[in-house]
Amino acid sequence: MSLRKGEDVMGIFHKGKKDDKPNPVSLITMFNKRSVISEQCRTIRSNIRFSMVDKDLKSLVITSAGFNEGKSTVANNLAVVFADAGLKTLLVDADLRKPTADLTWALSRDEGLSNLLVDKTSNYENYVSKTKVEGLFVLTSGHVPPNPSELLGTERMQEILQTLTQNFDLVIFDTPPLTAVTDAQILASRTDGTILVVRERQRDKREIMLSKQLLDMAQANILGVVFNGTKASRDDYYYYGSKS
Amino acid sequence: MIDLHCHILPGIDDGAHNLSDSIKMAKKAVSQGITHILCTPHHNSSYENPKSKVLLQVADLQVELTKRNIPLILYEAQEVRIFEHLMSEIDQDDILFADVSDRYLMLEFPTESIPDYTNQLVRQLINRGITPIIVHPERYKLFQSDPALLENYLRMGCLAQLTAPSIVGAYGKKIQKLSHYFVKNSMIQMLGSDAHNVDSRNFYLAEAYEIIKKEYGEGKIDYYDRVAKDIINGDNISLRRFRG
Repeated sequence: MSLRKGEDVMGIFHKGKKDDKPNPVSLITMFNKRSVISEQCRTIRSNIRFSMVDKDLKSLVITSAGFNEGKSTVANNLAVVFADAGLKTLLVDADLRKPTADLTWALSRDEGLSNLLVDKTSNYENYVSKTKVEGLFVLTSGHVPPNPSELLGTERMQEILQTLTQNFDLVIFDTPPLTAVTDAQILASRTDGTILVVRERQRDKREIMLSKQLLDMAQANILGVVFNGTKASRDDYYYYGSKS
Repeated sequence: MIDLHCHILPGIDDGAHNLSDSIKMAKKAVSQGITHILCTPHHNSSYENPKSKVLLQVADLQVELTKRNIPLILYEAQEVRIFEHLMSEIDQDDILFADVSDRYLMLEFPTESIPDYTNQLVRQLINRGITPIIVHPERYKLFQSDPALLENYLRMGCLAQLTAPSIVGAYGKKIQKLSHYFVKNSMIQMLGSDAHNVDSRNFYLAEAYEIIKKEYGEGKIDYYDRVAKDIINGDNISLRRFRG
């Protein structure tokens, strides 16, 4: 199952659709807690926790090599299961190029991370929204700025990150793809752990290797890989098939 | 015969739906030559069956069996799906073991992938003097793709339980072939029916014993019988070297 040496596959995710427009992601962990996918999400959560037993994990970056691999789906659903586990969790849509959190959670995108970054006097509390999930909060992207990488690399971002990790148990960043822009690298270098989402049959090995190199260059702490979009086996039928 | 794995308790998981189903299963078990059943209801995110609940259920069903003169003795246990907080549930006394001395634990993995944290959790269990019994190893994708991987868990100190219908062929050729491989190489130490009903997921324990006796000799059967008794009694079991 492992993609290459040194990287663990933290979990496997099924299904997922492909589209170029930003779309809301499916919050299956919220609507169907008993599904196989929800269980996989909880397994990923457990794997993350077990991989960080010695260190404090307060901030997590979810990224991928390219587009359409399921970063946002993984980020949002992980945020749900972490909140379910009793952690005060904040999902930050740091994909300032192709944001989705506003669509997924039916929130306004007028005010979010970019505003917080630009307006140095502003407070995160004014931009963070509660969700229907107990303990889960969302910070949308805000207006799409002309210079996302620059903004994410500022001292101000460092300040924001510090404030957020002080006020939440876990902050999860949804980011743009690694091979497209440097945003994810910047955030990965400043956070406690990074997870790479890889969709089956989407990227070739070289692109994934390149992503790994980019993260290593940024001295990111790669916790593992989430392998997305595998076909569910028919053997599930023997299992919790509703039939039985 | 002892059946170490059965979903005979009414209405608490995907096994028997009601008392009449349970009675049908009990009669079928007796006709198979089964004298003792270890009741192993699922304990997972879909079916929460903590110790206190199972204890009552087993006592109730035993009364019903006695009323009907069905010569079958029930013991209580659980089929525990691996999850992050297993150790703390053990501490809270919500987990039922196969024996009253809390030594043997029936442990189930997700079919699709065995979580990365399994190794850490298994070690924690073993360090506490608990022996995990991996149920139906032949159904996990990981072992299907590389059967020798089960050895890692056996070396760590786990035991493994084959499902009787698997070797009879009820779950298809692939699983049947793998079952033979595990039996031949002494990689499983016991059998269980994993019966859920008397239709699609029936006992097949007598049939499985017959097949194994025919192909591998009486010695294997005697060994499985002894292991089953030792587990129920919480005694040491004599281990056979696997792969020969």
